[in-house]
Amino acid sequence: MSEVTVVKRDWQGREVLRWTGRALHIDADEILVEARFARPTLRLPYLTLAQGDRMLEHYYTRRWYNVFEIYAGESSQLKGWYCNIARPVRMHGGLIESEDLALDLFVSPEGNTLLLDEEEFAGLALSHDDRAQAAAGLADLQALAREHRPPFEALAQRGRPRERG
Amino acid sequence: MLEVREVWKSYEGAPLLRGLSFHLARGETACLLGPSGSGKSTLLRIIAGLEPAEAGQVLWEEQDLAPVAPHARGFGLMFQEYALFPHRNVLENVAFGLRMQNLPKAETDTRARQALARVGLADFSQRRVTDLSGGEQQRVALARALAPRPRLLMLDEPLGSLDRGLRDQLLADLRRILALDGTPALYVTHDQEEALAIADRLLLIHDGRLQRSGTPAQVYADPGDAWVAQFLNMGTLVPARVIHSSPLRAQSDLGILAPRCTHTHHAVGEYLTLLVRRAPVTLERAARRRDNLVRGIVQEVSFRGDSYRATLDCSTHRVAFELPHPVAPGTVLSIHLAPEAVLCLK
Repeated sequence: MSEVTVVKRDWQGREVLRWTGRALHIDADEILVEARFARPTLRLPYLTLAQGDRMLEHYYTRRWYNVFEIYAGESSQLKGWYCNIARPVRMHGGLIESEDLALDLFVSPEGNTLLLDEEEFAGLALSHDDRAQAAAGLADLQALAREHRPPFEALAQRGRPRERG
Repeated sequence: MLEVREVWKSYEGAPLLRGLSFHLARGETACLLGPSGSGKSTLLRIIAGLEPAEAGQVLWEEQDLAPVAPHARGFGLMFQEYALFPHRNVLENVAFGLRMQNLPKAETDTRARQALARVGLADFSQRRVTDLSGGEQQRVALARALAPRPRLLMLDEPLGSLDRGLRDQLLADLRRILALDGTPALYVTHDQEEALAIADRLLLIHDGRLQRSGTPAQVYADPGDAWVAQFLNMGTLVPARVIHSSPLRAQSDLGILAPRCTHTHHAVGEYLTLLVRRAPVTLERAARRRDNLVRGIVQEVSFRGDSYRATLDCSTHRVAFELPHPVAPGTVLSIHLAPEAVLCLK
């Protein structure tokens, strides 16, 4: 009943990837999708994603980012939040379409933040408005993480955050 | 409020919904009931906006919802896999749908606590959801769905994974909560008993169409056709031929039956389908009356608390009936069916 398809597009609207998940919650501002990491193990310096990891994907209809809350397999062990700067999501039918603007922010379970792909973002031929919205989105995300506000409320039960990038 | 108008949808080339229509009234709990694969869940997805209809409309207060994205419809959804967030406590789970409404945190907490109180879990706010029983988790899911005050609540087999005893308790609670809350609800199930317990109105779906609609009492008093009677397991279907039109008498393999009938007229010689309901009967020792007198051999007998339920094997049909006292299997018995126990379906 609740199955949805997520389509990730690049900044020019070209499809990059699509996957299916189930919608856990849908309201005017946010669509929460649960999906599993389906690719082979991906080792990044700050995060290892394993096949079957549970992703709670927060998509926003009016915000310039989405946030993937990542849990190890079936457990409630939080691996962190992978945040994509992106245009506000569009949903029609069971399709959620997100246009990614390359810039990413990783927030560790301890609240450390790491800004990623800044150079790639700088190289995109974005409009002035897109760039301004993306910057505001990033600032909003950083503030939410710092203040332990949703979707980072789990930080409230942990130590103080440190800025790292 | 909600109107589904002539909705069509096919699945893998075969028609699934074929011009299905119904209304949902303010504060009403309607139950979409049909066998597996009848398109109930697909219909719910269409109403939620998760899938387009191929033809027809879904309207909310006369407004066509086709251009309205799922997230902008203001409908609450509760699925069988009720999808609580294991890493958030009960209150955080319930507050989830509220936190985007830009309310002060105190107001969010108050509303979430109110929703928890409504489902009888006022003291559970700080508990981990993983420590709760299946039934408690289900209540948390219901509180979460109700907290943002959706204008329509849609529930898809929400009690599907729970055992029978727990379901009965939750059904009673759910009915009370929905009635108190006043939120109109569409409840999808394939389980007849669940539908009867929860619904203000039943919407029976068969072959992609609305086969019968009415309050549970209306549908039970008059299922309307053989499919509905069979699906609701209301008794035994018996073919018969009219031998007297007024009062109506029909010859069947069970003998001469005198059915209750709401149709205007049946001519002598016409073929009918009769429903013999499971109902209390009287035992007939002297064959004074011929109508509705059924003879057979007693099969299974089971005690049902206030009566005994038994099956009579009448060679061509098996007829279920109830008696206030036990009867031994193997006994040859003549039973007299009450007038209301035999119904003419066409």
